[in-house]
Amino acid sequence: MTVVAIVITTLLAGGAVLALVRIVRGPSILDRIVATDVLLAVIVMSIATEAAFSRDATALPVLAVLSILGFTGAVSVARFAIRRQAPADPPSGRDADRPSSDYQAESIDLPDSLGLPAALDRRPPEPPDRGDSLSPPDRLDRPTEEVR
Amino acid sequence: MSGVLDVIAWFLLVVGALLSLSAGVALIRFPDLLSRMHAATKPQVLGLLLVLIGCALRLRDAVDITTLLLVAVFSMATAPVAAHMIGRAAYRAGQARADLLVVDELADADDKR
Amino acid sequence: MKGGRWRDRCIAALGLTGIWVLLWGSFSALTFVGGLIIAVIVLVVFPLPAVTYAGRIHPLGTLRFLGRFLTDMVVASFQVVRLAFSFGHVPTSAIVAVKLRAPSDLGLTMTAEALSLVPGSLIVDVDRKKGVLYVHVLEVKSAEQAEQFKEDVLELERRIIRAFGSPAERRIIEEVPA
Repeated sequence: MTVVAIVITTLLAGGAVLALVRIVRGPSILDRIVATDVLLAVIVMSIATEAAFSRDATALPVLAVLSILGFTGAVSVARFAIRRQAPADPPSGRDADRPSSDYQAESIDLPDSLGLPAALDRRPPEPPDRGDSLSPPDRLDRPTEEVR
Repeated sequence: MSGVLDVIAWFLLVVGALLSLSAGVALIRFPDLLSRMHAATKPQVLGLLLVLIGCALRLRDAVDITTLLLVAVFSMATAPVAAHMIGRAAYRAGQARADLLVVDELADADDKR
Repeated sequence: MKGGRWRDRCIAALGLTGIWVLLWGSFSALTFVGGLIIAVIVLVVFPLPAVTYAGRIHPLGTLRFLGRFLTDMVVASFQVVRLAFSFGHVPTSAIVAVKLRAPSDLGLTMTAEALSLVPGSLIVDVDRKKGVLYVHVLEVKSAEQAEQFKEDVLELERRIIRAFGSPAERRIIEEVPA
């Protein structure tokens, strides 16, 4: 049994180390998030293995919390990663507290352009509405593309 | 009986750990972000399920098994959400290497608009 | 319509109560009533858009779908593992557009979730109005293989509709040959 535990620990540690290497090396922030997800899953697995090894269920609530909240980090960073690439966006402070438009049908439509250079070029110049752009009807008319 | 259950549990735990190691290897080895995500998000799910089943076989207590069941359901429900968000962001950011794509119908659809 | 909404809310409240009871790990009057109260508060404070669900759960179709889903997951996981350990081989991939035949919200979501959990396929984008899924597939070498994968996705959709679909959706699925 001890031998099996050592084998499992080695395998899990190997996975964790490789994920850490990708976190350090990862060229983009998205690579790092993906690797962080892997690291989190390895941690969950280690805790579960420890619980199985010692027959002690104390740590199981931790697993429940991790599995519920683990994905929020990835989702929020993915959102901000998109937003940072769209410089025509309004200041993100106001934009961030507009979650209700996630439920609109248009919010999962395809964008006009994909890829970074194209996104920079082809984004239509916005009308100079910065001054009153915070009035409700104006904000609703805008394409909800940035919010996801 | 309990010995047999223990053996099955250890086997499942070892396979789960092996899957997590392979996810790590794929994370290092695959060429672009979208391919890495395949390895990173999926063998993980199966590995996690196997480890949880192994854990349940060792604990054999109704309270703990319900908690483990919840963990499994939550992670299976949330993993695709995270994967979808990251995949979409990755494609937008041009992280999909075009030289590795045999077919790219998303780019075609985009051009037609 | 209104009755249907209340039915949906009751199901949601019962589901949340079930999770609460599972979290406590023991079924007693206290956990059940407490869970019910919290479920009602959650539903009142965070109202969600109604999910239109006209279908019915077919036990046989569900079993078939779940069995196939689990075998798919195991087989495909080990394929990715083999790919990860075959050093020196750079996997190529493809992004294919799959037009679903019965794109209800729920069917689209279920298909996307099932595809995401099976290794080797990853949802990159969704066109909800047209009911098109853009799927990134690992280890595709030729355009024929991409076409083959489309067939697989449609087959998966067929299994899901057979398990959870409404009568109208089932008719569409049976009429159009895969």
